[in-house]
Amino acid sequence: MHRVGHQATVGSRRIGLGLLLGTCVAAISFLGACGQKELPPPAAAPTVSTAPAAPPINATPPEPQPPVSSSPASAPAPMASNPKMAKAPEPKADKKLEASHEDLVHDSFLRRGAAPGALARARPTPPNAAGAGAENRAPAFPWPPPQSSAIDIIPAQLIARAKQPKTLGDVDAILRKALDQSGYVSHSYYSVPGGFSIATRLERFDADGRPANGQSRWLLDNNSPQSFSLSKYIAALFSTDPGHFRVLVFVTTDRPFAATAAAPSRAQAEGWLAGGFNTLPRDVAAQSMNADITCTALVYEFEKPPGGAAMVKRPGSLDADRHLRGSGLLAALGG
Amino acid sequence: MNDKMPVKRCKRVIALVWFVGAGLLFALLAIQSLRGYYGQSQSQVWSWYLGAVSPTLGLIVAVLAAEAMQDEPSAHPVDTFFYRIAVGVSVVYLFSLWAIVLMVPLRNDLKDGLPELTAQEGQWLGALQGLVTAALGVFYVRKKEGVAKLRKAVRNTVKLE
Repeated sequence: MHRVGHQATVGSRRIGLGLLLGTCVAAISFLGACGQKELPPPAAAPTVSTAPAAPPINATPPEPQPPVSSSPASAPAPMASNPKMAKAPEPKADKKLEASHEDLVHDSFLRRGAAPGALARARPTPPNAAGAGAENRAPAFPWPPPQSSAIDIIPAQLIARAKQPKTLGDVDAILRKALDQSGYVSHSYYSVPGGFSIATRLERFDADGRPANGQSRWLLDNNSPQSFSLSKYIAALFSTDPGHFRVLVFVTTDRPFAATAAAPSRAQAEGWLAGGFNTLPRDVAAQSMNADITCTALVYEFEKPPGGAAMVKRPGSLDADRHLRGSGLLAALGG
Repeated sequence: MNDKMPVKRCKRVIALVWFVGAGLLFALLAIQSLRGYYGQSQSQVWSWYLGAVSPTLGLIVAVLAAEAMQDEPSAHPVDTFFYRIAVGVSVVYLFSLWAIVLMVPLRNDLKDGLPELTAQEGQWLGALQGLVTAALGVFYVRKKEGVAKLRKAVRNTVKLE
């Protein structure tokens, strides 16, 4: 009897010891997995503009057209993808983004009745827009726009500095040139009532409004030390320096508006790049200018504490003018 | 080989392990919070911490308080093996909590900091917490009389307040 009891005790001890060892192994494997730092993505692609050219500017302004109309059969239908991103050597971290772009392109293309295999051949040249209809309309930007950290109207004389724009396509060409010159090679087009909007990629910026240097401009994570040392680690553990990020949205429309919708989360703002068209649809580009059309810059500024989630900052740490000057956009526009 | 040891000593060692492990983590989180390390995610961080340690610490404190109010503290012996199991699981659990907090500066891929990491690791940590609670519960409230004493202690505490 005593022996049986002893064996039971030994058995239970072995089971308990096994449980303890299993727990230790699980904890060690977790720590090993956590310790594998992900490689930071390299800098953004060089400024190589491969976007389709702006629609030709007619000598005589065309008749005003409704914002939504079916395109002629020869009109290139915009893809929901930015060809710049596809052409340039993109960093590893952008693979998912690129994949989501490709999915959108793929879906859009298949809806037009094309064979899946024809997608790669058709990418440089937009497919025949027969039956495109409503697909030619860029995705709608939230309207009224979400509450922004800063807002400013770009002076009309800056837009018309080189040449008086006659159509929205002209305005787009001016903005796109300035964006490209300032390093915003990735941006997306959305439709808004009476015009269009352009959203830039989420970027990190410094306290003075200038984009962060080099690779860190497009790094969207913590200020993690690139090389490990104990002093850097302890400094990072108690760091109070938040990361500052922003998305710029340029709304060109003849309608007055107030940015009153709920402020976006960082994920929503980050998703604006992937959700829009790569170029301005031709029918929107052909809309003639009128005296009421203004270009408004909305700045969505996010602050990310080292150990917490990023939140939109309202009001922002800088006004819109300093954001635009810091980003180099005003200089690119000639301001 | 001595297979038994006094329960009073076991409880004190386990309480020491928990107070040191959870207390120092509390201090670290408090310093970080005061410095604004977690920004607006601070309440999520504290919810996670309190949910992770307060049930066990509550049990330990309640039992210790109950014993402190007894005239004759229990002195029955406890199996050394279970004592070691309880201490070992507690150490592994507290170490895991520390590791999660200390990993945040090293994880480049976290967009939401500690709340995101705790959400990612919540499942296995919850399982581990269940194991800890079971081990300590069996250890601390091993007999029916222990439960009765605990209830009595809680009643006395309420009366005193």
